[in-house]
Amino acid sequence: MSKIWVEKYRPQKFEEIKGQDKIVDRIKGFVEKKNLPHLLFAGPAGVGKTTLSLVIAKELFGNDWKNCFLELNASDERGIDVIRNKVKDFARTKAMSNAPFKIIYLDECDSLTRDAQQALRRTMETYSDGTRFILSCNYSSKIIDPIQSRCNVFRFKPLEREAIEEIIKFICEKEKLKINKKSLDAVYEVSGGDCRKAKNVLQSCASVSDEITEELIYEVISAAKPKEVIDVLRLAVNKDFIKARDKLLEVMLKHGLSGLDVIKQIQKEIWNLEIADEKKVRLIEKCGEVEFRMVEGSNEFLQLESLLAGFVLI
Amino acid sequence: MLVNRYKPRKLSEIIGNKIALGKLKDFVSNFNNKKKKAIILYGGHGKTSSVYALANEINYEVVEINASDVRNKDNIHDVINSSMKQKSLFKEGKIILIEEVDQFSGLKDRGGITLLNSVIEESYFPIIMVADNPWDKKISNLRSKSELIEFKELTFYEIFMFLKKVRDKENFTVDDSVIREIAIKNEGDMRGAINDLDVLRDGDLSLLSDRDKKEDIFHVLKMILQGKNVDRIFEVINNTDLEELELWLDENLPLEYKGEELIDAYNMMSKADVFKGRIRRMQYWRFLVYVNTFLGVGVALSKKNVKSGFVRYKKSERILRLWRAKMSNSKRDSIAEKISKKTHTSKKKTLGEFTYFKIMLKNNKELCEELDFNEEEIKWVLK
Repeated sequence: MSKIWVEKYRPQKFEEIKGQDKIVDRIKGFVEKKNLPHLLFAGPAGVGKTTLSLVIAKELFGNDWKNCFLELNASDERGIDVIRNKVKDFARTKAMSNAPFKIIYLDECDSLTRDAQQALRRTMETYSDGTRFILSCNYSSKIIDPIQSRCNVFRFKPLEREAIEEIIKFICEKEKLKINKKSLDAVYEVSGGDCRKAKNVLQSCASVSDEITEELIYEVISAAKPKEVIDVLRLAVNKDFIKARDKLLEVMLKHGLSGLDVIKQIQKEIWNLEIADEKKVRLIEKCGEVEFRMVEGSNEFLQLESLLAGFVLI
Repeated sequence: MLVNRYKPRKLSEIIGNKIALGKLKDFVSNFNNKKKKAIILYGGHGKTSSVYALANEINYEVVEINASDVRNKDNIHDVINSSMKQKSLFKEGKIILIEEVDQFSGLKDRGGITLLNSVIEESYFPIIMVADNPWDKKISNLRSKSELIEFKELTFYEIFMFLKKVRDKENFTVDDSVIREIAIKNEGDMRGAINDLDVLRDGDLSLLSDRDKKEDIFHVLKMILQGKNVDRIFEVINNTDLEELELWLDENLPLEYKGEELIDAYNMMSKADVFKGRIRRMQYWRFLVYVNTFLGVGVALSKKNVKSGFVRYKKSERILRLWRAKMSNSKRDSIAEKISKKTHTSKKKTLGEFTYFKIMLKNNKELCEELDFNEEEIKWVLK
């Protein structure tokens, strides 16, 4: 058993899954009849898409599940080659177990390129005799229509407060941790209904102390969200371009942030600056342009600098 | 430019390498009787100019494929096929010149070498390839079908004598001692030597004493950041390494430009970068024109008035710092990969929540054991 709680406390059966009741019921029905359509799971991170897929495989294939289940992560392997090679190779061979088909689980499908999605569509058709696909994504709008039309689409919602708290309480009991109502609240707030995040926050707190206090939680959280980006903006607004960009480079290197990470944060922080709202909108507009150029261009830092230069004039 | 004026028009005008040139000429003129239908030129300086000089001398057309073109199977096929089918309109024959044949990109130029292999034997026209390293494994098949011709470095004496000739012809007032220095400094490189002589002709002796890239780039920077002379900027920027220029400009722009000027100049640089990205993705090199223009003239004209005065331009340390950070991030990446394999989560997402994992790992030895970290990774976690 893994010591990483995300794994250690991952549900193994339908009954153990908290939240997403309706979806779980429907899927359970499919599995009982041993008849599964292609599935598309859409929804934010940490709400049970991967867990449910794993449960399906375990319930369908029993101990043998690993041989009948291919898990691929599209955000790490998102080219057309993956679809052409790995997926096809696995789909081509017959299932060995009692189940009449195998399952290919493609996580984070929204990061598959268009080419790859086109290739996937053909593969889904060609091998649908012996293979079922479960696709998961954050935004179903990024999945091409022909694929959506081949799947049953299920929309997952962030977990409700009760579900998250139940999970946290359960883990605290097992791990002999002390937690009070306020800290429970804090974990939920911080997680925003993302169970993976809740577990990770809890485990990092627990690695520091057996008593999970509110302060501890916020301490752990703040380590994860560099405040320094705001300092960069302040320097820029105060017309110190050179210092602002030195700070920017320092922050990016220290936390290993990509240009996109930074621009996302800048775009959020603009609203907290002490300037007129009209100017904020102008800056957001500039943000959008720079983010676009960043995607098109090759030097992220240069693009950020061109954004910072605009702040100096505010 | 002086180099262009002294570009060899005939083989006899080329200094040195007489044996190699003889072989080259023999190969092209007696092409129909040759068993091997291609040659590979390597070593020394002046391989390409020799080919052009020869072509000029015997009135041949040169069809050149160099590394700035995409050189995959289809493209090479197109170029070679179309030139094989058509006779040259005004010239007596054709030479197909393939530059940097050992530098084909494995990915983007896929199939190029294989195709070359198969066309060589059927070619109606002499194929001349140029290689830095003819012993490269990638071209071993090509090598066995080709004759190899080695170019030797020019000696100091050959360069020295030629420079003197140029000086006298151009009526430059440059001492023998200076010419000697140029010849020594440019070990074997006639083009570099003539360029140096060209600079000295402008009367600025200080440029020579220790002329390395820094001097060059300062000059270019000053021209772009302080001046507005469009023609001159275009001229120098063509001889400047754009990557390097971008870094230097980026670093020093805020020292000269303020406010609106800074915004406009960065806007230009940002657009240049967008085109750079497009070139890389589409391999469409014509976009280089825009990169060139935006970086040079675009930045220069972003200022209201010409500037003056001495500004100490600084070298950008960003690359160094990025490299250092990358080294330390590589451990973070390998750790994230191990975690993501255990947790049915992408590496990207794991990196997104990495701070939590770092806290856990730091305080929990068992976790590090489970993830099978190597010594360096453990050290990184505990840091």
